[in-house]
Amino acid sequence: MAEAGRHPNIRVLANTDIETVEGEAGNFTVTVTRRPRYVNEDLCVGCRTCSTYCPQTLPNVFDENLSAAKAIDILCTQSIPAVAAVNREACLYFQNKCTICLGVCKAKAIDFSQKRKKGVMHVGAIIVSPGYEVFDAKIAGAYGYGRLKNVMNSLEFERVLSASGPSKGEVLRRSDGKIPSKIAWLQCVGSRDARVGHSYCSGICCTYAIKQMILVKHHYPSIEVSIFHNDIRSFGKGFEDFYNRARQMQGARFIRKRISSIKENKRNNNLIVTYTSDGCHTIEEEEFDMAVLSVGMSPSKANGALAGILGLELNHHGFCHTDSFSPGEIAGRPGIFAAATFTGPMDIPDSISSASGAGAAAAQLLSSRRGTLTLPKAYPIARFIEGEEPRIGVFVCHCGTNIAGVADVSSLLAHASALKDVVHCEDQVVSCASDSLQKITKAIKEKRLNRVVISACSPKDHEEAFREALRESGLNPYLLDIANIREQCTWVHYGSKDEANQKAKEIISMSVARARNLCPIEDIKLPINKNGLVIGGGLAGMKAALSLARQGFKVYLVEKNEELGGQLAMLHYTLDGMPVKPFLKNLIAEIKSNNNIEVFRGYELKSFAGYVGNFKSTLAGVNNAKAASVELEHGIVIVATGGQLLKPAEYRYGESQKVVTQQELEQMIASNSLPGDLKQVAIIQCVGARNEKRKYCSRICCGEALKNALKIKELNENTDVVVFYRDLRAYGFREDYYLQARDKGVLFIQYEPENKPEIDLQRESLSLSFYDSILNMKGELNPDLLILSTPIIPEGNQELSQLLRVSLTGDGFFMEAHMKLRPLDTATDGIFLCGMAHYPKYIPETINQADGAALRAATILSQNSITASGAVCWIAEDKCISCGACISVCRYGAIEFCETPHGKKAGINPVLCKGDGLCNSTCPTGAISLRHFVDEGITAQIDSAFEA
Amino acid sequence: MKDGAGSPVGAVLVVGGGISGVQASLDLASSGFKVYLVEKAPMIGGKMAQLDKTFPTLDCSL
Amino acid sequence: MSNIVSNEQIRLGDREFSRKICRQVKNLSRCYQCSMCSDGCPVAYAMDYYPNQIIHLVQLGLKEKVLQSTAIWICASCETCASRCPNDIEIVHMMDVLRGESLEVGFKNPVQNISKFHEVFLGQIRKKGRIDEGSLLLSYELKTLDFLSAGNLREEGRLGLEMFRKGKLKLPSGKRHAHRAVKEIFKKVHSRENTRGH
Repeated sequence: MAEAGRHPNIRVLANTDIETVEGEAGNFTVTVTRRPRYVNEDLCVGCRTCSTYCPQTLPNVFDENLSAAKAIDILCTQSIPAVAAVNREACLYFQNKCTICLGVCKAKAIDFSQKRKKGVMHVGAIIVSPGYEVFDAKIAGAYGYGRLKNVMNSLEFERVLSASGPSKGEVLRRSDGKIPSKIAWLQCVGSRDARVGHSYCSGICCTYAIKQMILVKHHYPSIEVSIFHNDIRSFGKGFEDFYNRARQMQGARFIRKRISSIKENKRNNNLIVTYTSDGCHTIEEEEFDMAVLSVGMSPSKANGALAGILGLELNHHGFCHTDSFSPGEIAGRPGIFAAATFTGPMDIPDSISSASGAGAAAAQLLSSRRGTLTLPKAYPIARFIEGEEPRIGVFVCHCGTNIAGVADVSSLLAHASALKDVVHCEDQVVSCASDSLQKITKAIKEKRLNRVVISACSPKDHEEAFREALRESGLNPYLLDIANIREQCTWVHYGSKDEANQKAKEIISMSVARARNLCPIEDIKLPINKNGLVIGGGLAGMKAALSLARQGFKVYLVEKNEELGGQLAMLHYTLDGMPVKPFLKNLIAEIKSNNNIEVFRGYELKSFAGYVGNFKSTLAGVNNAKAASVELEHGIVIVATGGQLLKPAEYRYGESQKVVTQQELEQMIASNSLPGDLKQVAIIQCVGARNEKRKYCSRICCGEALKNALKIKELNENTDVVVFYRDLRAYGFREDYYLQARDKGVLFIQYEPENKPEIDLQRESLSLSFYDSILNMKGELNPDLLILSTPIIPEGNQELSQLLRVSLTGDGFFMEAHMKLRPLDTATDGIFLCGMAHYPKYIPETINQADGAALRAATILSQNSITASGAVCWIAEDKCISCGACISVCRYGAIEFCETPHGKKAGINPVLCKGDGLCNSTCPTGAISLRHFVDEGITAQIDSAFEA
Repeated sequence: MKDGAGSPVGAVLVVGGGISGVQASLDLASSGFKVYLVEKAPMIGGKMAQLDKTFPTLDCSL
Repeated sequence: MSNIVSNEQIRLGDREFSRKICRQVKNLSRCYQCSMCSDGCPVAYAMDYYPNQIIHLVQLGLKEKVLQSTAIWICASCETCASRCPNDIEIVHMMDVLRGESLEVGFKNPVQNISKFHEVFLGQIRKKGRIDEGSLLLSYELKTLDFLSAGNLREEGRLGLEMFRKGKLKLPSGKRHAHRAVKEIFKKVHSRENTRGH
């Protein structure tokens, strides 16, 4: 987030509405109105003095109204921009009653004369991602939301759980402020509910409720937690594991009942729910101390107006209409692309993939104009400081009241200025604010500082911003040290101010001691090879290759089979009724006709070396008939190797023609070889998935089953179709098709793994016995056809992961850099990921990921050179005894033996080294040191801690 | 691009400053396009900024 | 309370029955067994099958089980289920249709008193054009002779007195209200039922 606020090519316009959009793809004229915030963004330093003095309180919307804010305020600590805004409706200035803030603002940033400002901008493309709203639980009145004190919605509960939230992370009842002993979550509030007009599934609530349940248990092991649910739809990567983890917790219950209403026990404000228990046929009445309503996603109320301005269509659910084969495009509106929850409910990683995917579409459209409106940042030439005595500047941040409210900043300044070599001391209200950064730059220049200490927050927060300030002043950015006096001091010791103050002084002393020993480090600049390698010629690979090619880059597309298509070639139609074959044919034709794409069919990756921007690969023919191996050089890799469908090993598969997989059924339907007189068809879900051996949910099988069940009904409405399922995971708008299937009379019978259906085969006659948990009865069917829904399993990932040195998950899929925030990157710079190599997924999800991975790759390929941090390890050759210990601990393959005049010695490739320091702490002779964390500096730091 | 319509503009408007708008902006800005990120609220971050931790890794959301 | 014989086998039953009921009851086939209807039902405790189970039985076409269940008679038509059902299923109407179906097939009502109550209720309306609780109660008690069983008389007497005190129970009266018009209604319904029957 903070990166967006700092990026030189991003202009953030907050408090702004879109008014009109004219023009066409490539040339849009957009007018916007900036509503006045009555605070000058360039002057405000974010000190919040104004809100301290503001007499007018109102509920803080950021905390879901659970805490108070002022009429002039910054609603959250990490707000971007970190400047105050005035709430016009609440502010007393506009009632001619108050001007207090004007008087207390030292920055003179408050400006009540601000007016609405119109602005016009010219853009080539528009990406629409206005997000969603949380369902208003008051509409589901029987749950007492807004009426019963101890009922809250899940977003409010999210704020309650947050350490920076209204109760500092303590879970307390609103009625009496006590910690609850029993909490219930009620699922599907505002989702899968025709009465409130939301027949779709929001797709995220099951897993976030599980998350909240786990977080509560971490914090309060004794609280009993229960989730009342319909199906549990934990379909995403890692979600099923997460669900299983929650189920194994002591005092955690999952109850398959949707609660009808909540009543209150007037004596203690406890909440009473009743539910039937099918097994023993009783009615349970249970009391809870607190209830959380798992509210779903509603389309934003502003969608209608926005659709009008942009000239696009919303679907009957109120979201933007897109189709399976072009999930980011809007029919009839080229140049305008829809992203994330604007197109339907989805979780964070899917939203990010979709956003990158929509971005890729824009980048394709405008590729000829890349770099025409952006400017690289220019810095003054770095000052040469060798031979200079240390001249240290110390900047102490108040961080509003975060630091200044606990420590005495003036005493810290006095302490710092008395330290050796400190020539400049300054306090700042918020050091990371842009004007503070400018002051740091100015002080470095004026006082000729050659070391800088910032006493503020964790280096993880803003180190990059402070380094930037050094660069701008002409000082090497590595001459900076951060004394973390917030997370490691004032936040944790807010109860004991004197001790905290003392500790802050010591932290500053230590930091100054280290700073004295800092040396300039040159980052490494590397040229970039602008070609891309895409491995895998299925839907994901083809889409990624096409997007890169259209963005102007040369692409090598490698497919091990003789034909392109992968799993997509096995499909004939989609759940939303689109024919697959013509789409596939077109896609292959586009690949073949694109001059930027070179296709290698029948080839596999055989060897792989290099680093981001400069990879070298060898391809080898799968059959010996192929020409000898091919050598390729490229700057990035996109892994799109897909997966394959599991062949079932149970339910008599292979013993009878009457037992087939979902894919075989689809083939039969497509080739008209499905018998027309089928009386009864049974479908079994989760065959070989969600079990001990294969724990994950394959995500797409429920949709596939619905698709084919509907197809069977379409062919003959008198065929009885019975689906045996565990949780029917028709998430998002797929719920529409689940509804359609039920409308058409498809029967659904739920089963648990301990009561799986059983198949008996007698002379080509199938009998299926099952247990019906709704009726607590056994049953038997004699289907004419049994269809097994089997999962997508990884294919060849093991070998490829070793070649590329990219890890796999426990389930054998490729691991992304960050499951939530970087779903398309791997931990290795320059290697990206998309499609079913990452996890099973539907066609539109695959397309989003493929396009998204292409844009992620383009962020590298569009540069002329790449900078690698110079803060890496180096080896003193004379001390190296060639034991190889460093080589075995390095996780990046950055160390190799090299021949030297003194024999074989370990050598470090600085480009591959990540500076994690494992090797230097392992080296038995101390031959390795890590630049920027040299022993002298760390020892001096430790010594200074003991001096006091 | 269409002939006569003038050459396309190397800038993109992103409507909405939640996690997806921010992601699209960063990717585009880092690959050579000017980005205008328009948000109707006084701050960017959207819903995700309000979340405590995210599933299934339980990482912080900011 | 459980009447379920768990070693009995379900087979997909009378599909025509299932389709027929689904045709008459809006959205019936949409049920996904969330059990919200049963979880909120004030009389579920007295039913042999809960409302969600009845729907499941209908979907499976298990005609006899449905039509012989007490649930369809015990349903008080309070509409709580229908007003909360996320699939907008007309559950109360379903119960009505099933009662009709049960009578048509000629199943004996497993809760005899409920039939007697309906008979007394309709009889009074036909006769007087409206209900008054006092005489309804009297006729009902005389018809079922329930008060003869041990303890019932005292219990019902206590309840009656309490209701009377709170103004919930009026003394029997012989007054008639538009009984001619009501009679016409009954006539019309009968003739319609007869034509439908053929």
